[in-house]
Amino acid sequence: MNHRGKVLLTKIGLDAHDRGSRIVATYLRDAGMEVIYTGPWQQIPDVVNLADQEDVDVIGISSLATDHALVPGLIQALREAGLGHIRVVVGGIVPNAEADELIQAGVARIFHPGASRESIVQEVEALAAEARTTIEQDHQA
Amino acid sequence: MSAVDTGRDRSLEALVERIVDGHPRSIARAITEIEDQTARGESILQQLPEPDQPAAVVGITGPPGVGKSTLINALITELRARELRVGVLSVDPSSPVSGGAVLGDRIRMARHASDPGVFIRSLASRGQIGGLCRTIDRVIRLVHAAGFDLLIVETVGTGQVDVAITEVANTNVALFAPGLGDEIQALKAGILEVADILVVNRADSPHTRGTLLELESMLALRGTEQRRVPVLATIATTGEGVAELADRILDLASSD
Ligand SMILES: Nc1nc2c(ncn2[C@@H]2O[C@H](COP(=O)(O)OP(=O)(O)OP(=O)(O)O)[C@@H](O)[C@H]2O)c(=O)[nH]1
Ligand SMILES: [Mg+2]
Repeated sequence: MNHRGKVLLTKIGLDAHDRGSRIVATYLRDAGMEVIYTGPWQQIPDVVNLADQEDVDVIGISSLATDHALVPGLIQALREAGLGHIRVVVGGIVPNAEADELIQAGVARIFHPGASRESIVQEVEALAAEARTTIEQDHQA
Repeated sequence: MSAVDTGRDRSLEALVERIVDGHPRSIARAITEIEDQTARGESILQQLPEPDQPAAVVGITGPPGVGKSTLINALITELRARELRVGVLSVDPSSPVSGGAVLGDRIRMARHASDPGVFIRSLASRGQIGGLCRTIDRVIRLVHAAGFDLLIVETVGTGQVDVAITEVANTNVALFAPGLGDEIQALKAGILEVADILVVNRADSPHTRGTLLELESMLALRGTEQRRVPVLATIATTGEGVAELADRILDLASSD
């Protein structure tokens, strides 16, 4: 069976609103992807270990308030754990100035409110494929 | 690493070595290969050493939402206190239309994510009926080879009897919710024949006693020559009754 992409949708930080993640989870599922969904208030070290055990390709962080400020720390922790191939995307409300900072920190894509279902699905699928290719190159090494 | 002729085989050997050492990333990557039914996955399985002893596999089945994942979470805590290393494989259904899946069992097990003595993996059923995925026996073999003492498998929870689990698990735990009444009657034919332990979870409900008695009396009807099947009550959210469940599971696991 084909590997269409495995995605971890999670929330770090204090905000409890996870309706957005639930909706995106169904988009990705309906596009054939396998989605691990954790709910809010996850700790960064736990997210890293979970992503590792589940061998995910993409992590999606939903942020409506200030949670996105923690994402550079997550990316750093992933790299330190040797999981730099995992693509990290952020969905939700991110002010423009901070969006630039996130991209610099290594966030692959930010989905702002109103991002279409098609664009979310297509881009996450493409990022998952990229992450997979990186791993396969590792195997050859 | 240099790309010499034997590079690929050496990388496979190294991977198998790391799996046997219990290295989580290597186990995780290998499971993906097995799930995707790749040639590399097959090679990994072929190179795994013969196990010293058979895997102790505990199957957890029961209707949707009865508390399977929450009970596994409490069981992990109990088994870790007894210094056992625990592997958990939780199966959730794939959409028959898209092939995709939302795997939500881990929500209930979040506190064990960073314990190196615990390995948890979500698996999508990928078109397999019967509450498991097609590759489950191979994934079990792999995680067993990685040195986990006890493997817990959570079935999809279709509301039907997930009897396929009895082919891969040697200890089968069936969960019931209090107050099922007629539904228990309907389940009688299937699950009572194959379960080794019956558990009424959500025992914080006032209907618990009635359901326990009902299960006991259905077991009694089977006659005295049948093997003994314990009937336990648990509250998965508080851990009540879970130590006794762990005792029964370990009794059975060691007597197999
Ligand atoms: N009151 C009470 N609630 C419980 C108990 N066990 C589980 N729950 C709750 O029941 C809900 C479902 O629990 P899960 O563990 O996800 O159930 P499940 O059987 O794994 O569900 P599926 O995998 O979707 O079939 C959660 O909100 C739990 O907190 C219990 O013993 N008492
Ligand atoms: Mg569950």
